[in-house]
Amino acid sequence: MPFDWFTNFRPSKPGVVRTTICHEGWYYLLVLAFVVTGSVLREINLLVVMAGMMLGPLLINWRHVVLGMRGVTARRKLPAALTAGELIEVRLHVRKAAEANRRKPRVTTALVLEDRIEKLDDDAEAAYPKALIWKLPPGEAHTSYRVRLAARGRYRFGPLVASTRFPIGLIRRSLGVDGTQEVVVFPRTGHLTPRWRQVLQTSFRGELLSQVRPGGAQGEFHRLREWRSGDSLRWIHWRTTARRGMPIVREFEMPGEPNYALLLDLVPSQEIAHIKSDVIERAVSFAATLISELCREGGSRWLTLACDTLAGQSQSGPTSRHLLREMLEALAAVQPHRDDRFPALLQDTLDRLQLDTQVILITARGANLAEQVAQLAAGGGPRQRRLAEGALIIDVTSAQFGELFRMHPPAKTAADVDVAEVAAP
Amino acid sequence: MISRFRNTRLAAGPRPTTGVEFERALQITVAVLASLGTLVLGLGQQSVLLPAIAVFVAITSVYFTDIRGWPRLNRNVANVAAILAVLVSVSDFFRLERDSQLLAIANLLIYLQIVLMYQKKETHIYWQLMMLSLLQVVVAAALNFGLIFGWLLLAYLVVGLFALSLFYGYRERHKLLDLTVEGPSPWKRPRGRARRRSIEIVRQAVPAESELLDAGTGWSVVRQTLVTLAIATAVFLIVPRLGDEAWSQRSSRVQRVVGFDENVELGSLGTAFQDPSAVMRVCFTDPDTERPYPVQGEPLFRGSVLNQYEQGQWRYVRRSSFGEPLPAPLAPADARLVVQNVTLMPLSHDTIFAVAPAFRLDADDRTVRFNGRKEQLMRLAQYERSDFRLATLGLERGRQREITMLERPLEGLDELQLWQLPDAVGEPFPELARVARRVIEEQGVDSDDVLAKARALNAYLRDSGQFAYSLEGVPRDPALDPIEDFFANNSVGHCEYFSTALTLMLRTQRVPARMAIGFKGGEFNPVGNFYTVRQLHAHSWVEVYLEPEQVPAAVRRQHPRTNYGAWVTLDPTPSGEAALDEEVSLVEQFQQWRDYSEYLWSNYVVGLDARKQRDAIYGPIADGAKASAASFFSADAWSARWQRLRAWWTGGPWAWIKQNATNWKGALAGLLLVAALIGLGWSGRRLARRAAQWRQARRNSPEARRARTVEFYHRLESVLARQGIVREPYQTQQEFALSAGGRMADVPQLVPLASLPRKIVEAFYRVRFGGQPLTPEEEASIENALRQLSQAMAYRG
Repeated sequence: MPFDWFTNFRPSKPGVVRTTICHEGWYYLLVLAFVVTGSVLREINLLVVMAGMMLGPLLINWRHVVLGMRGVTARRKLPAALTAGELIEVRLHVRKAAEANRRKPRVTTALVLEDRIEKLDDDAEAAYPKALIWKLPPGEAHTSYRVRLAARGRYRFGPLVASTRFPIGLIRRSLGVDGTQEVVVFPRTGHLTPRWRQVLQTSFRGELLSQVRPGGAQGEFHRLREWRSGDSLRWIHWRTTARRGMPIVREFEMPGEPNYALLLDLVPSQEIAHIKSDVIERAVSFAATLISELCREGGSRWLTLACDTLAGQSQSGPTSRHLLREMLEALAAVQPHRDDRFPALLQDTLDRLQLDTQVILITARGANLAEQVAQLAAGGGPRQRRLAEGALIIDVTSAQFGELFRMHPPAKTAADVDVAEVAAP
Repeated sequence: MISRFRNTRLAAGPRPTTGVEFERALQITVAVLASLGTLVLGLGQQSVLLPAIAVFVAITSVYFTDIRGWPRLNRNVANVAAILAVLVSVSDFFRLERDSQLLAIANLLIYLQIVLMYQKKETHIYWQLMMLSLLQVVVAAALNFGLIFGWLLLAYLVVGLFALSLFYGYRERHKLLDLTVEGPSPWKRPRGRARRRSIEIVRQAVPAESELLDAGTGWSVVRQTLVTLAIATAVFLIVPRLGDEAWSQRSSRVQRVVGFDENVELGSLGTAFQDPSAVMRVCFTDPDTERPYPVQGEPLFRGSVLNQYEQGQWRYVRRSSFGEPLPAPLAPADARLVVQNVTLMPLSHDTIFAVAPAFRLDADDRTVRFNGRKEQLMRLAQYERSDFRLATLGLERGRQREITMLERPLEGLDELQLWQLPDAVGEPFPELARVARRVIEEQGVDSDDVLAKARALNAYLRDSGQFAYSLEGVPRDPALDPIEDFFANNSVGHCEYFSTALTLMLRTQRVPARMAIGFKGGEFNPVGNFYTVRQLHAHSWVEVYLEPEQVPAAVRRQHPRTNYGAWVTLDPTPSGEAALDEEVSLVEQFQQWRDYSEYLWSNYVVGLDARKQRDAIYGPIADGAKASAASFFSADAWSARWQRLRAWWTGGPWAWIKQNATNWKGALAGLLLVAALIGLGWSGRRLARRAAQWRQARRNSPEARRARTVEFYHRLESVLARQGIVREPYQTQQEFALSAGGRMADVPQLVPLASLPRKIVEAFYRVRFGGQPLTPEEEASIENALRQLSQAMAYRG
């Protein structure tokens, strides 16, 4: 909106300063223009006096905002992990530099810190959370605001802008104080019920499966592979690394806990209109919860996540905090694909899985995939058939799904806005 | 160390307001502001009703609507009421005359204000109320020109700034409390159905309302007020006026001039009303020094004359048409004049009152007209307050002249009817004539000496003690002419009786005379050096005509320029009051200051036009600047300054030092001197340090460093140019370096140096386009390369 551009032109990056006339200032200027016109056309001296008296507050306002923004810096501090639906407290650290050669420190009054939050993979409007610090003497202070990011995905915070309109709000001085920061909001997680554990155990073949894992000293050597994030440096096979010019680690086959492969089958985007809007989110949340549980349980299991919209279609690795973060980031970005690429994904994934892997197929399309899986397996080798026969298919649209998984209720809304705590020297 | 900010504030500061108190303060302040705006507007409309309604609405709306919560107009009702107000005002607008249409707009503002006051106060309502109030004051500025407007404007400024400050805090806080606002603009709200939001703002940091209002707010408003006044004064004085006539109010309260009329009637009963309304202000100045010209006694401000007396009534009768009034005569260039600045209020008469004879000073001034027969000055716009700058020859050495020479021949002496007496079978005023003859005989005045006769009769009426001055009406014998009764029965009367008596006495003695009417004296204001002339100062006196040969020789010698005869001004009215008390009471002092303020306000605020601005502001500034410049470049002025300084030093401080060198005064002065020197030195050191810091900052600025470091490339070009290796316009610096290296490689002696241009240009690219300054080692290396190149080129050359 052009008028907004004039009245609220936000600095686009740190260090940029803008002085703009606010909405109220424009109305005030309109009256002032009327007064000036009247005084000029009719030679009414009292209107000249009025014009001078109206000009005074404008100049005072301008002078105050210019001086008030001197030496103000601020930075935003985001939590380490952001999960959709959770309350997020964003802390803002503000600093006002003391001016040299000034006996009485100048206090900045009514400093507004305005952040900008934008969802990158969505056309939704950006939000502008704010924090108001009424008096900011030289020194440091901190304040915060709280937001809830309802949807997983990539978000951009910033630029953070500090501004003031003190003392009468006709003119605003804005200063970019912190740049942009892109973050990934993980999918919302839930609670796996005891029933889910029963289902998992009964579906499992109960055999003590061998497990392939890198670097283990107890097992039999299995193969060499490229180093992945999360692998220990101790697993590196230095000779091969030197020869190939890239880090290579050893994998050993050893007895252990079962491995898991999660195949996420989202509805093709053409069909998305026919299903409830939250089904896909339910599937993603279930997968995220499962991955979180498995990674938190630790142990030495191998975890694979496959989805047709993932970069490279699948990710796998030993369960760890790092893998958890990687997979959650991946899940934060998954979206239904335009084409139905599930058969190819299943085929490709089964080809790469070890025999001792429990395949969990999470589908959101509401159709029975068992036959499709069996047909695909029949066309493959014995290893694929065996994996497919043991696959656990979870239909998130089914009524029974509620017995397996419950979403965490949304965090309590702190709509009753209480007075924020502002800390200062 | 981080501590809880709010806690420290609570401990250190005064008791803060609660949230309710803060909003209540805002409500009350806005209500006061709205009332003030309406009050100012009401004064402009000369209406008591409007301010009364405004105060009533303000009080009731704060108590009932804001505090009690009822009655509150909902938005629909308020909209309907506002539309009705607009319709009523539009109807008034088209019904009223053009001059009164502004009042319809003013009334609309008040109606809308009333509607808003009874609504629930939200941010936009507060803002609209303040804007409406401001517009009311703006409209009032075109209606109200009194000093009271100035005082109310000052009060409005203070309250307005306070209201703006409170409103600002309120709005900032509520804007953050309102989490439904999505965008950065507080005015922009989601339209239509609220869409599902992926980003929900749950809480924004907002200070408690108790933090928003403290003692600092009051001080801040005081400072803002002072600065605003200074800015307003500067703007008012500096903004150039384009016209010669400032807009002045066409007053609906035109004063009737009590003591001045074309017809004077004697014999009315009752006490003359002492009307204190101001008629005009007059300020005398010396044209040479531009300083106030002191006048002793009470000056007579002449308006017009009356020439025909019939049965107790004076009229001006002309036998032929005057024709169109002429421009007033211009002041003679070679005469010693006194300037009289006259400010006339709106009056029911177009006569200009001034010390006679009066002239216009400006040849282009067409606003003053002149009736030659009556020697009367007239203005064009009698219903407006008008300012005139006139000159007079009627003052000499601080006193009003008794005899003023005519500047041109008196035309049509018969037309003037200076000898007119009522037609009668016998003597029209037997008693009056008898007394006149007796006085002249008793005084032994020569029958041909007109001036002596006039003076004798004047002295008789004024000083003999047989006549008394009184404003009270006296019963007169209806069978007699009032003036005959004044002589025969009751010798008490006001000025018109005395001037009538003298005029008629003179005419019975064949001395040409007429009655002059105007004002006498007035209240002299020593603060502003001006006279405030009120209605109660109305007066009449007598003018006697002297033929040229009758003018005393002494007067003729003083005014050798002309000899067309003269007018003798005689005031036969005895003083009716006791001598003035020299002590000025506190009330009188206050009145003097009030009058002076009104004088300044009406002359230099309301009435400031291009001429006054030029005379009072631009002229002195320009003259001062010219004089300063001339003085600065004048050797004589510097010499005189040096002489004065020497005289001052040898006569003052040096003598004082010699006298007090050994006592405590000298010691104290020495200590003060040392302290002053230390302070001066400290200030100088501080200034020098700041200047050094500033220079350092400039030297270390990225631009300066870049410019400094890229300078080496220009040196490379100049070194190579000595051998004719010049960069072509189409070459980049790198292409130039490669080309130069190639040409150098063709020369055996220069082969070892062929790579140096490229090396230097690479450094240049890094500095110029990469923004990376050179390290000291690199700078040294570049210097070395340049030196080698320079030496090699010199050798080769």
